[in-house]
Amino acid sequence: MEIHDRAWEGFRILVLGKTSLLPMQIEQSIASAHPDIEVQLSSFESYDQAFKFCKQEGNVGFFLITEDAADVPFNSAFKELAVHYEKNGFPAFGAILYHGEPNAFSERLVSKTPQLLEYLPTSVLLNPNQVDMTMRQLWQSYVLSFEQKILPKPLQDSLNALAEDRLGVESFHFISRLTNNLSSELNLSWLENVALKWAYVLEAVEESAPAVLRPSPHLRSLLQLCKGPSIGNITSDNLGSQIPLSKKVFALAKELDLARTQGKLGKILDGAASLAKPGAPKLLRHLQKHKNTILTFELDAKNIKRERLA
Amino acid sequence: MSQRTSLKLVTYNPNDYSLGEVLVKDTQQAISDSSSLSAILSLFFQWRDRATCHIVLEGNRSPIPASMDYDREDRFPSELKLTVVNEVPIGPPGTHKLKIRIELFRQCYEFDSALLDASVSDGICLFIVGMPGQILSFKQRRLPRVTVSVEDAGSLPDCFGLLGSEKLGPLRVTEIGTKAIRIALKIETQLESVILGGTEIPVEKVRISKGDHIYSFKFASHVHLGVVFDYYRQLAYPHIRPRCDFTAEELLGLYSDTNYLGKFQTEATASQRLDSLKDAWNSASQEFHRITADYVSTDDDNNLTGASSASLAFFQFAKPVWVFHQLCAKTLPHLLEQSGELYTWRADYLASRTEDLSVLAWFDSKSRWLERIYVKFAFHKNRSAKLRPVAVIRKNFSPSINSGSLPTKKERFGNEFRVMVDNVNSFGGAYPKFLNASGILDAIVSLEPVESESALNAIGATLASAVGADRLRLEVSVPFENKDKITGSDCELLHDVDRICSFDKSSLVDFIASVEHSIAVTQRKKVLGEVGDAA
Repeated sequence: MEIHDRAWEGFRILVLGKTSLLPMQIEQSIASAHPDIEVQLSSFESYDQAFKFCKQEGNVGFFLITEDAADVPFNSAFKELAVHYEKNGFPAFGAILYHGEPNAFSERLVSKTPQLLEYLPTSVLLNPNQVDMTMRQLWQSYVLSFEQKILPKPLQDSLNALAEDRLGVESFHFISRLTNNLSSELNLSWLENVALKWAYVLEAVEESAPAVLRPSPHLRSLLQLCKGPSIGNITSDNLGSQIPLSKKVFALAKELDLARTQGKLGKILDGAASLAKPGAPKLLRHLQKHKNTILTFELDAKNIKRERLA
Repeated sequence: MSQRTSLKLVTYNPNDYSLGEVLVKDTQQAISDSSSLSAILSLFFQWRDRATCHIVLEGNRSPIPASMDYDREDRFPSELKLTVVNEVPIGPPGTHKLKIRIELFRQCYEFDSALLDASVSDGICLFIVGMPGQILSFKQRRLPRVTVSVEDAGSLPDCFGLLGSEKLGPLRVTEIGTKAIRIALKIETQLESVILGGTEIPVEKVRISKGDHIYSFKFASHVHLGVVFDYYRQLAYPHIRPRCDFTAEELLGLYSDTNYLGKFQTEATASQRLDSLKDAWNSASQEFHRITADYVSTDDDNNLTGASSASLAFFQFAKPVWVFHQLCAKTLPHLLEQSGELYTWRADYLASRTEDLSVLAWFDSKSRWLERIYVKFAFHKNRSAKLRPVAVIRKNFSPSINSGSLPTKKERFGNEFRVMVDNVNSFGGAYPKFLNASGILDAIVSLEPVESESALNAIGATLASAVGADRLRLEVSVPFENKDKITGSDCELLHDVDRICSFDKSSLVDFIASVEHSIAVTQRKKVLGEVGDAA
């Protein structure tokens, strides 16, 4: 059972289509499967009404647009609607919807527009058995596309190289896997998800080559989402504290890495497991559940280092 | 996948005096697929402030109010936390399951969960339970009911009881709905009637609960319904008042301020219209509760903020068709809840009527708030409701030789009559002219695809003949795809409304739930532009 109510946090989602009733049917179908985002959803049959709404609110960051929604081509309509959100500095994304048979031309146009993530039949958003999965897939695409947009591949490679150099091979790989593992079951927003994935890299780069991050306010803000006080001992109080989740997870990853370097990882995880009773904070229960997996990360990190040295 | 289960007996609950109203036909589902379970719990956690949660203990003990939450950091919750003030007699962990009942937007969900841990601290019990593998979903079929506090009672009409020729009272009313009344009576008796505001209303004793006597109303006329509804709505809808409490000038000011009349084209000038409306509203007030109900909303300073009506406007398949109409509301954020009352009182009111009926509503889909209410209602809460795009075309009709072939029904409206024609899949009605302030109830409606215009023309001609008009202008609503079937040089396509929704009386509770849910969503959205008017 999944309740990921922070997934789409921080922006509105707009449905636009010309066909009578269809946009609201899509809106309500999504709302039915994901009541947590109903207040973020709006739908329109009129492009002008949608445009006015996007301009007025300025926070519509995701679009579900039928290919015949406007008199202009859908990629132009998307750009015109998205521009109001993008003034804030973040990219907007969307998916194009079709009724009946897919149109090859539309499909090609979607594939050529990086911010249009999918070309989908409306049925997958109207069918109660498919809408939940479709929205989860769209979210995954959204997170990945956002990451690629603000961290293009060459930049990722450069940052990783700098961070690995700073942290050392073992820490770099251990924290990388650990944060991925911890994030996978947490109620994190799209932004926190990306931030946690890159925070240890960005922090290492900030320490070793601060000039690299200076021209990138987005990357610095990602790091700020995760930087916080040390988690201290692995206790129920510390892991259940009111510190924002992304800061807590980042601090925990660093604490466990420190324990690894001191040869205490197994002991710390055993201690966490003993505290993970029903009602204990999620992070404690996670450490108990994934104890063996986390220990394999330690081994893997050692192996990678050994391979590198060899 | 969700699957229907067999009909379930309603468990006797001594605190629920409306047992007879609890209909479970087609309303119970066992839900076990992960996505649906997530959606139900997510809905609850989104609207915890509007939901209730109870732990239901075995035996006949009353459900215990509880607060339910989960670890909000967990994307895949594996346990729920229930907090109960006061100690609860529940055994050690591992040996019990807890039955939990949550209610939200008039939907009730019930599930069993394994008790994983229980602890008590400072008189607060904390239960940790596992996630449910199945949830039973029930629709609440009860009409709303309200508690009458001692303070409330002071401002409400006195209630007396009648036992033969003996008059008891004034009596203390502790709860009232439109179906039943709960009275604190110290003596064992069997009242035959109650007198509310001077009107004698037959009642029948249902039972005694916690010392209070519960009687169901036996309405013998619309007057009884009117008296009870007016008593009840002062508590349930404190901002709603009868339209006749205000002058025609005040009402016209409201309709002008909210641009209700401006939305509709009309030939009448403002002064002519005022005179006509005065007459029409006078006539309507004489038929209040018989075939029309007209209320307005006011703010705390008694200024008019909105109005809405429900009227018997048509017959289809010999069943009365009541129309939600004439709704206008000032679109200010702090009046949103009141705007909602303008919708819900009508549903509550029609559900309280004794006769079977259908409901019809037109609206403009540009109002996304209305579209949300009706789509939520027709596609998610009650699939028997029919919601469809329509074209509304204004057209003139004249009596024809064949016009006498269709039978008509007449209903008195004060000094005037409403004439109605029921012609299988289409129906129509006309007059009094300002039954709706914009004249939109002089209309023909076809809810099904139109094969040819002739059936509609026959209705139009019959109506023109029945009202004695050489030329009767009617608004013809047809499925949008049939708009070209309505022909004639004087046809005019209107754009003020483009949706029609029709549903049965039994769906009204779901309609109220949709309104309440949509209001909650809109309040969170805080988007004033989405709150609009309905026809």
